[in-house]
Amino acid sequence: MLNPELWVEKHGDYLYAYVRYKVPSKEIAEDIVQETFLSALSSMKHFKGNSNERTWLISILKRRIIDYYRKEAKKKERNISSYKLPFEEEGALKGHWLENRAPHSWEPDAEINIDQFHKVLQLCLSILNPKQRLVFIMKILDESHNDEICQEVGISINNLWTIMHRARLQIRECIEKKGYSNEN
Amino acid sequence: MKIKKTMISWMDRVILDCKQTTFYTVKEIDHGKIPWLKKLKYKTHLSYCSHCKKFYKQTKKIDAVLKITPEELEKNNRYQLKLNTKTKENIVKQIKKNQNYYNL
Repeated sequence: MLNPELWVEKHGDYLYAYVRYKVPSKEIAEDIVQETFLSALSSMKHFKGNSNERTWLISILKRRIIDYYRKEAKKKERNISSYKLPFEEEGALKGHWLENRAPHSWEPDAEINIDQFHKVLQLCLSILNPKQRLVFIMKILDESHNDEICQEVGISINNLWTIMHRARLQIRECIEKKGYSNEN
Repeated sequence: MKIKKTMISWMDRVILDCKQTTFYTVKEIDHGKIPWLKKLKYKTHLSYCSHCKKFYKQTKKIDAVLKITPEELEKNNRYQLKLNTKTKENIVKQIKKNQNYYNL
């Protein structure tokens, strides 16, 4: 039996911890948690009881996160500079890393400061173009099938992988450029 | 240097270059399907290319931070995330208000 009055007590912190590192700020995370509870309230009759309350709330939360990035994607695009892939374009080394843009700093095996890493990561997510960011987040949340993502953004499946490839290259490089290092 | 370049270029024909390797790295991390022969070629490239290996590990790490679960955060005392009391009270108020609206 669902009991909305106990939701915040039972699941509030959990939902907040789930969303916090997936959106840019504390305030946005709080808003999304609130929207999730209200949206759950209005769709209580659809709760089938074959999953537990928390799983059901998390699935709503994920949709709210996607909605947030969907709205962002609709906003007027800022001037986002185009990204050139970090590989040689011709010659014998065509397709190989450009030496000055290959992965160098920050040690992936070392322990990281999640708070600090997240700040840099969010900054780097913000330089992706909004459509690319929406695709990326939908993949990260693992909530939508590839065909759904393609339909939502109006792209082909090959495009989806090209976008993900680009996005991941860009984010990795950005984190390095913004000077993230394990020593900080 | 010239010999090295020729060697790399020859190897790419048999194996894959870094651009293709990072493409399959992303596909693997994001649960895409990779044909077995491509997978073999891509794993072989990863075994000798330090840049691509680092790309793989760093990308995995970024993915892990974005997908971190509340349970994992809970284990680490430094990163426990909690809603503040005022926000909680506010949400409860909103729920109560809306509960009446939905006649619950």
